[in-house]
Parts: sequence; structure tokens; C-alpha cells
Amino acid sequence: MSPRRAAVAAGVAILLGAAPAWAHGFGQRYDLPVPLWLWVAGAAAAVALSFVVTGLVSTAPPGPARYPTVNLLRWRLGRALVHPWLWHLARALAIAALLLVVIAGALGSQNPNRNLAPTAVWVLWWVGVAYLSALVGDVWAIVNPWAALFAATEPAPEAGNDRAPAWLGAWPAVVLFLAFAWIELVWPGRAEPAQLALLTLGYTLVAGAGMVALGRSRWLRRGDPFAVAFSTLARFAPTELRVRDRAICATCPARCASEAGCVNCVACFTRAPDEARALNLRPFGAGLLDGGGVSTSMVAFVLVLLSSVTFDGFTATPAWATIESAAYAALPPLGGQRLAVIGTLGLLGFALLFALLYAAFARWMARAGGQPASGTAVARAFVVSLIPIAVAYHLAHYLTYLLVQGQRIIPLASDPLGLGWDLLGTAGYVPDIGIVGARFAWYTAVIAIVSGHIAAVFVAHAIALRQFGSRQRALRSQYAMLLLMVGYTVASLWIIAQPIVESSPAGS
Amino acid sequence: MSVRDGRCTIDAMRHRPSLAGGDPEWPAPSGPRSLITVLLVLLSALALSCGRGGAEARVIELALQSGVLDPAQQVVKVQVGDDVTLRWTSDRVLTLHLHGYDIERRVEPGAPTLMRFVARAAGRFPIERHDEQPGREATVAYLEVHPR
Repeated sequence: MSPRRAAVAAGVAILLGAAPAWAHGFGQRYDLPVPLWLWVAGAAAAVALSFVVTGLVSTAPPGPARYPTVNLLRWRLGRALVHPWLWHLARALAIAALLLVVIAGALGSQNPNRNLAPTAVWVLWWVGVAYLSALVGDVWAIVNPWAALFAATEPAPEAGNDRAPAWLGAWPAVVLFLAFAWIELVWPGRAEPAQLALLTLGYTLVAGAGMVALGRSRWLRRGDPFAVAFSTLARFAPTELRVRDRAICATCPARCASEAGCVNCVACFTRAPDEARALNLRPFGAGLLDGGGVSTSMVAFVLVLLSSVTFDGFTATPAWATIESAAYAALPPLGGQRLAVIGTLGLLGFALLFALLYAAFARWMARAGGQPASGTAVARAFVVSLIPIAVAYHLAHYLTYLLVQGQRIIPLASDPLGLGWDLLGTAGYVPDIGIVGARFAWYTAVIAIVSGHIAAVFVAHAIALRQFGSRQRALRSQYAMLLLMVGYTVASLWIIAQPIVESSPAGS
Repeated sequence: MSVRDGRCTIDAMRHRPSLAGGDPEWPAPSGPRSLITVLLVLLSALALSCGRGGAEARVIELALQSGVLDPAQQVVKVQVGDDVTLRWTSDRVLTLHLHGYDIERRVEPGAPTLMRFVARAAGRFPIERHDEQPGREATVAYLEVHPR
């Protein structure tokens, strides 16, 4: 080891040491890297299956895609799931959890391992609710405590939903989500309980102001980064809340009618009469075919969502550690903030890279499709087809993290403030780090990513049939998309095949 | 993982952490038939290395110099079920913390310090160093517990 490298490594180690380096908010991942053969097999399967799916879909007639649904409200149990009392209870629990996080963070022990706040926010809420959204449905739209608190104090329900100017789009959500991703992935104070309490309170004010300014439902669809992120993931989910009567949907004051009708719009669903409501089961990913293209700001949101999750994975790889060390040596001293600057540049760089790549491929697709449609229109139409890969990567990346670190909630529930209480008799519980085997984790991760890839290819083809009208043009346009998706999938697989480096080993 | 004498043994000292990714001992794909080759090599290696041989008692020597290990020692590989003893020596006073298994030991110059445990859970676990100065910590090595 050269003296210079050693000095850089020592410098990085000392700075990383200054604030314990928690990736993705809080808590460590103990995943073994996926072995090379499994990575190769996964990538090969992704490529091979792409062609199978292409062959299958290209025999479908062009035009809008429809999907089969089963309305669960036909059964008593289904009706119980949408009972107002159940929803009120869930909201009350969500508000209680929000209060508990603030109280524990502000008054409890400041050791992140002994305080409820970091585990509750970063593991259970951010990772857990994302899982729930993608695999079950848009539960957050029902329980969102900020929306519930605001609704309870609203003088005129759903007033002002037409106040937002059209040019604003979902840009507030894009900006706030970037800020949140920066806090999650770059900011050194993210695991400190008191800081989390402050942030939670601060966001409560932001959300309140947003709902006053834009109207509650508009804010939730365009400004609230969490509501937008979870509802975006929930488009992949196998359930949907739907108002079946378009007339009711169109007159609903929440104004969430889109081309697809009122889907996962809790405000309109609540107002609709029983016979117009549906709680549908649908195939995974089918919701991505609902409606036409999204706005340019939503394209940006989806890309930021994807790029930040991928960046999270990338920061734990040795490749990033090397880049970080090199950048550390290259940058002038910035008063100890050098690592935060490198992280910020990385996060923004990833977002920019995703945007540029996607824009280039959208233009390519538009040209190959031989259609009057511009690159922008194609970008808006196809961006949702990338969501399944992101969902799958998210599942693969956080599975053992959620299962291992999530167990911390058992002792923390008994002692949320870290004061030595034992309210439920579970304070002594020690998380089982072997709750899933390494092979189980590997196979689940690779199968999830490959399945996500297949779903993405399928959705993109269905959109292409609708967008380009003829089968040949759709097929031609999809070579570009296929290349992009195979690239994204292989990159996702590559990240989980890398040994995790939480903070660069001293001296390497 | 290396196959020696037909038994399932792992030699932590021979492994260097790979920056390029993957396990350095697997052949890199080089031709159109590389996938099949890789799969075949893998299957036979799995069958050879893990089909027989049970848990082992393993003692691994780790020498810290100024709080840093030799790069060859920075990834310690064992297998699930192994009875592992990490035998630490150091030229200065340090506290070491093996995450996951949650074992913390103070290491002092002169006498070796032992971390002994049964590697019951697979995974990659950082071993962090806490210096005498508060707040200073860094990962000195990773313990990789591989499935059989």
C-alpha cells in the first residue's frame, strides 16, 4: 500500500468515523454478495426471457390494454376492509405512531440503537411501507397521518383543489423527494433521534402549508413526496380502489379523475355510493397500463425515485468506495464536509445520468417507432414501465435488511425511549440475524429482479402497442427499450453481487 | 471457498478482497459457452466443496498494526456452523466490535484477545474498531459466513 493511498484511506476512515456511517438511513445490511454464477444466470435469464415475452406480447392486438379484475367488495370480508371504522382506526394508529416517533426522538436516549425513532422511520416506515405499497396496495393513501390530521382540522373539506397552477405539476414532490433522498443517503445526522424528531415536526409543517396552498388532494398527488412515491410503487400492486362511475368521479371535489378514472383516490372513493365502489384484485403490474402518459414532472419523479434507490445500492459497493477515495483526494479541503459533498454530487449525478439516458432512449424509441410522437411524448408514455424493475430491485436490496433490522422493533416497542422500560416484556429480545439463510436471500433477490424485468418488458410492449398503433412499429420501437431494461436489470443484479462496504475498510 | 484434499475448507489468509466484484476464484466468462462452463464449474465445485465435511473448528490469526490489518486479512471467510476463533493481536489499545454477532473485545499489546463463536448465521459482518479517542471508528475487516 502506497503512503498516499494509506493517508487517503486513513483520512476517509477518520471522517467516516466522525459520524457513524449508516447507509440508507439507519441500520446495517449483512447480505452476502450474490455469487458470480447466480449473477450471470440471472442476467442470462433476463435476456432470454425478454425475447419470450416480446414474442408473446407482439401477438396481442394493438390498442389500449385491459386487465382482468375481481371486485373484493362482493364478499363480506372485502367490505370489512373498506369499512370507515377500520380506516379511522388505522389513521388513529398512524397518528399515534407519528407522535411516538417525535416524542421518542426528542426525549428518549440519543443512542440510535436504543431509540425507537431511527428504526421506526428508516426501517419500518420507509422500507416497510414501500414493500406494502408495491406488494399489497396503496395503503399509505388511506392511513397517511398528515392528511388525516389536516382533514380533521379542515374548515371546508377538499377546498382549494383547483388552486394549483398547471405549470407546477408534480415538481414540488420532485424537489422534496430529492431533499428526502439526500437526508436518507448523504446527511450525517439521519440516524440521530433528536434530528429525526425535528425533521418529522418540520415535515408536518411543510405538509400542512402545502395542503393549505394547493388543497389537500392536490398536495397529496403533486407535492407530498411520500404519498407520490408510495402511490407510484402501488401502481404495480395487485389491488386498487376504484370509483366505477365516471360521472361521480368527474364531480368529486378531490379532482383526482384521470384518463383511467378515479383509481386509488381515497377522497373520491369515500364519497362514492356503495354501488360505484370497487376494491379490485388485479394482476401485478397491470395498474401501470392504466391511463395514458404522465406529466413531465412525474417522469422526473419516477427517474429520481429509481436513481436514488440504485444510488443507495451503489454506495455500498467497493466501486463507490474507490470513487469516494479518489474524489476525496482530488477535492480541496472543505472543512470536513468533503464526504457530504461527494455524496451529494453522487446522488445528483445519478439522477442526471438516469434522466439523460432515459431521454436519449425515448428519442431513439420515438424515431424507431416511426411516429409523429416526439421524444417527450414517448418519455411520458413509457416511464411507468421502468417501475417494476425498481420495485424488484427494492425488494432484492432491502429484503434481509427489513427482516433483520425490522426485528429491532420488538425490543423497542417495550422501551421506545431507551430508558430501560419493559412495557410489553419484550425489551430483552435479541434480533435473530440468521432469520433467513443466505441462499434463500440470493434466490429471492435474483428471482425478484428477473421477474420485475419480465413485468417491465411486458408493460413496455403493451404501452408500445397503444402508442405506436401498428405491431411492427411497436416491435421496432421496443429494441431500444429492451436494451435499456436489460442494462438496468444487469446493473441491479451487479450491485447485489458486490460485497457490501458500509464504510471503506481502513487501509484498503 | 477452496477445495483442498477433497474436504470443505476455507483459507481466509489466501483471500484478498476483490474490488472488481464477484468471487475472484470463479473464472470470468470469456466465450459464448461461458455461461454453461460457469454453471458446470459451479455445480461441481458446490458438490465437491460442500457435499461432505461438517462444521470445523477454525482459528484465524489477525494482527493489527496501527489499527489496520494486512489487506489479505481484511475479509475473513468461514462457513455456517464453523466454530470460529478470531485471535487478535495489536500494537495499540483498541476496542473491536463484530457486528451482527455483536461481540465486543478490548485488544491490548502483549497478549492476544479471542473472539470465539459458532458461525450460525450467514452474512457479511463488519468488524469495527473503536479507538481510545471517542467517536473514532472504522471497519478493520469483514467476516463472511458462507452457506454450506
